[in-house]
Parts: sequence; C-alpha cells; structure tokens
Amino acid sequence: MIETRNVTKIYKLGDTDVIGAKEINLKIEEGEFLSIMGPSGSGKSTLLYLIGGLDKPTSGDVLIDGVNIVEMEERALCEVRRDKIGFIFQEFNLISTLTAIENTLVPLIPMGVSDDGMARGMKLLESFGLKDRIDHLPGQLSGGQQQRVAIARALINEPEIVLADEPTGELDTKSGDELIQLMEKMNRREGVTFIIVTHDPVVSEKTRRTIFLKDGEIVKD
Amino acid sequence: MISRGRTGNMKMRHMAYRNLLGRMFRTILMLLAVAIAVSLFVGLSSLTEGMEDKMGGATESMGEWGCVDAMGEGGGIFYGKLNGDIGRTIDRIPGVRYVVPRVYGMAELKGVELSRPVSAGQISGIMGEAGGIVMEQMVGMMGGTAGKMLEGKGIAELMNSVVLIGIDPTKETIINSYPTKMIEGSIFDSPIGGAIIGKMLADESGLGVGDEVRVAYGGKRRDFNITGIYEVGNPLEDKGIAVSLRDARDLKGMGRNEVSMFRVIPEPHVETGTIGMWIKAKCRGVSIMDQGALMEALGEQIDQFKVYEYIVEAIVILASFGFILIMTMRSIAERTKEIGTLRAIGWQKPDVLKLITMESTAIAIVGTILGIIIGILLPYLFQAMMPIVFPNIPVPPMTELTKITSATIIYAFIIGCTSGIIGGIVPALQASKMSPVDAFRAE
Repeated sequence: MIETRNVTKIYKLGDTDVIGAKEINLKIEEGEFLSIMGPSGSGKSTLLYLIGGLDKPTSGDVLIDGVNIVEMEERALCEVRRDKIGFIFQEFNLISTLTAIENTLVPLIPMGVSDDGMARGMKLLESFGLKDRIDHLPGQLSGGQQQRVAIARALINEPEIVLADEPTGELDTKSGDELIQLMEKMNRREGVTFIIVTHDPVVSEKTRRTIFLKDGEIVKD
Repeated sequence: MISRGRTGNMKMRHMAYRNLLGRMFRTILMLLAVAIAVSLFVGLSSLTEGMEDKMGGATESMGEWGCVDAMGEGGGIFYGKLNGDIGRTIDRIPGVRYVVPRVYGMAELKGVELSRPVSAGQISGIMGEAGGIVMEQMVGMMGGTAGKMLEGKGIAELMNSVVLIGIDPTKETIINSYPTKMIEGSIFDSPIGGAIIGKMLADESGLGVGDEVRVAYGGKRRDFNITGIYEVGNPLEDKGIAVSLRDARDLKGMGRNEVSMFRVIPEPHVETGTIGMWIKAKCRGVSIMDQGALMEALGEQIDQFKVYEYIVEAIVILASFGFILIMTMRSIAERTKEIGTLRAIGWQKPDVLKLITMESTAIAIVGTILGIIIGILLPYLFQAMMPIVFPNIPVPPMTELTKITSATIIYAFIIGCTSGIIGGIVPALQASKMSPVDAFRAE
C-alpha cells in the first residue's frame, strides 16, 4: 500500500549537503501498526514527511496505493493528504483560537462541514473521553487531551494512513501510554495504518513492526 | 470519506472571526491603524469641503457677478465715508452696470448676551491662512481710524461687537447680493425700524423673527423689529444685523448723502480690474477692493491647503497600509506552524489565502466604518474637548465649518478597505506559498 523506491533526500545547509534519507526501500501494508526509531538526526521525521507528501525526495519514488505521489501536482497532493492521510505532530499543532470540536473539524472546513462530519467529530471526541471538553480551547486542555484532539483531527476524514511524529514526546508516561493504546485501538477497530516516529523504546515495543534508521538509512526492519 | 456540505464559506468565515477574536490585542491594533487613517481622511476632507463651501457662500454674497468695492481712503468700510456724488460718478463709468451703496459699522446689541463672541482667533481658525489675509485686508480697509480704535481694544475685543450693515433692499435684490439667502421671515420693507439678523447672531443671541432689539453705536441707540434671519456664508456678516441705509446712517451719525462704500457691478464680460482702475482714475480719495481678485487669492489659499491635505492623507494612508502589512506579516510569522499544519492536513494554497484575506478584509471593513464614524464625530469631539483641555483658547466653530459629503464617505470607504485588504493580501500570498515542511522548519 505504501512503497518507497530508492528514496533519497539531501538538504542543503549552506555549502554542506546533509543526507536526510538514503536509498530507502520500504513496503508498508494496509493496517500495519509500525514505528520508526532512531537517534536524533537519523532521518525519522524526514522519512515520515516524504511518505506523507509534505516533502519531495531528491530522488526516488513514493507510492501510495500504487500511485507515485512524487510526480503529483501540488493540488492533487493536497487532496491525497486531505483524503488518505492524517497527521499527528509532537507539539499537537492545534489552532489556539479554536475549540476542541472546531480543531477536529479543521480539515473539513475548506470543503464545508456537513452534519455527518460534525457527528463524526463529536463521536471521535466522545470516544476519546473528551465529551465534556468539546468547547474548550487548547489552552484549557492538558497535553494528553490536546493530543487526543489532534488524533481526532487526523481521523476526521477517515484516512487510510495516520502519520504520527513523536506523538508522545510532549506527554508524561501515563498520557503517552493512553495515547498509544488509543492509536492501537483505532488501528484494530478501523484498520487504519499507523506509522509512528519515536525515540521511545516503550512506544516501539507496543507496535507490531519497528524500523530502525541511522544516518538516513534503514539499519534494521 | 466524510461527505461535505454547503456550509464551507460560513465555517471558513467563522474560523477567520475566531482567529481575530482570539488575537484581540493585534486585532485592535490593526483596527485602530485603519480607523485612524480613515478618520483623518474624513476629518481633513470635510474641513476642506467646509472651507470651499463657506468660500462659495462668501462668493455668493458678492452677487452673481464679480464686483469691485469702492470705499473711503484711510477709514475703510467701517470708519471711512464716501459722498453720494462719487456713486453717480462711478455710475457714469463705461462698463458699470450697477452701483449699490452700503453703510458698515461695528455696533453693540443692548441687553443681549452672545454665547460665543467671534474673536480674531476664531476668524483665523475658521479661514486658516486665508483668514489671515482677510484680517489683514480688513485692517487695511479700516485704515488709520481703525488703527487708533484697535490700539486701545485689540481685534478680539473689537470682534465682540456685531457688524451693522445698512442696505438698500431694492438695489440689493436687483444684484441678488445681500442677503443671498433668507432662512426665516423676510427682508424689512419699511425704511425705518426694520432689521434682519444673521443666522450665527440669531443662534448665539436667541433673537428671532418678531423680537425687538436695541442697537447702540457710540452714544446713539435705536430699537429695531427683526423681520427675518439671513445667511450669507461669511462668518463676519452672518454675525451681523442689516438695517436700512437711512437707519444705519442715523445710528452712525452720517450725512443723508454719505455711505461707507459702493459695491460696483460691471457689465458682463467687463473685467473688475478695469472698472477698479477707472474708479481710481475718476474719483479722488477712493480706495478699491477687487472682490474677485480677493476670492481668487482665497481660492489659491484653499488649493494650497488641499495640497497639504492630500500630502497628509497620503502619508497617513501609506503609514496605515505599512502598519497593516507589517502586523499581518508578523502575525503570519507567528502563525507559521499553524499555516504549515493547515497545509499538511490538506488545505490548498487558495484556502489559506482565503482565510487570511477574510481576516484582513474584516479588519479593513470594520476599521473603515469605525474611522468614518470617528471622522464625522471628530469636529464635535474637538469642539467638546478643546475648552476642557485649553480653556483659554477660543474654539473655532468646527461643526459649522466641516461638511461631510457622500463622496468623502465613498472615497474613505474605498481607500480604507483597499489599503486594509491589500495590506493583508500581500503577506497572505506569501504565506499560502509556504510548503508545510518549510513552515515547520521555520518554526
């Protein structure tokens, strides 16, 4: 379902070339619950952004459902991100002026929020234990609650894939555990593929497959 | 996939408003930037319009034709005298159509308290630089006698009196001159005891049609029945009282044949300057004031003022535009992660552009409306605040001097909205082009 073929990403930092990803060949099947581990600067986030179509590789192809997203135009790529992929960020990236339900519905806003969308947003927040926090602003929520809102936002469009970049990085152990359990539940119940970037072995132990990266290369799968 | 409804625009607008309300301090700053620029534009424009309007009124008070005023040398219109024979001499000059006699003086109204005596400061305030010219001309017209009068009193004290104007209503009507507009009652038809008063005087004294007023000039006093209220658009004469030539002569102690000045109307297509030169050549001891030339000078002064007004307005609008640009850019720089996130979760470039444009449009529209309201209220606020802040400085009647036109409001709306929207769109375009990864890296 997701395939990377000889994906290389080189960044320019002044006169220096920095390798973010090097000849990465990877296949991820539908419904996988996978983690990507590695030290800082190993290229974990780079790989995640390349898979998610947020960045273009210097060379190589990224295929989602057999379609090479590297060759896609900006508009089509946006649609892929909107319809097929959900993103979860380390710092939650919620919009501070919007409530929990409004943040959940943000991906739908440009096309219009239907009653179905609203109902799904409410249902997601309720199932994540945020029923009485629906009208709260991010500043009024704990870190764990904010990240649950971020997961709801990632799932609002019923995506096939959720890409999580250090989702537990800003959370305490208990909240982190709850979050991973929540993602696992969504993976089992809804069949959503989860790719989780983490440097926490406790998190990776809970995933069914772990890829280790070092200096932009896969060293263990 | 979730089905989508038709409420997209509403929700986007809702999000834009929430963003504005959630960043209240910045929103208020940007609203103020637009509002201040627009209010200054409205305030300055209304002042210029008002000055032009007043000047139009003053021009109207000269009649529908250009005119030359002939008065006695040395004494000017208030203290000089001309013999009626001079009027007949002027009447025989080729190209002269009408010669209308007038008597002028500074009189006092007995038993009447003026709520706002006209002062020299007010006259200057009313007319700006042009007022200075008028004052200079007036002092010049008053001549040596006036100089002596002024030595003891000063212009401001002198201006606490009202202007007494002696007219021949029949001749004034022919030349459609004094008064140009009756706003209540009618002009007196009796040569004795009838008077009309200016609107400003009526407002400040409480006198009205049917009232009796006692006018004092030197040691003499006469009672007049007010038959009408007029308005000529000239603050000095609008604070005056007009009576018959005969009554004015009696009060001033002038001879039956004497007048203060002759207003000379030339035939069509005859230059007022030419008539002035003829009068100078034919009549001794007569000084000439070419009203057309004076109005032209005043017009030039107003044009000059307008240039300054446009410069100030341009600076204020550019400053406001720059402020909005900087504030929006700053706001976007602080929202880089937010914009990156929106792009990452599937927002297209036009969606981001639309959101930020909606925010700046809302600020531009609300700020412009606020600015127009403040601009309209500015003269009233100025008038109310000035006596509190500077109790010793006379306040010009700003509310009477400003004129708000629909064109001013429309221009203010267009300029305010355009500068606000463009100030927001430029950074919005930059923001919408940002790739999600670049946005996250920038953070």
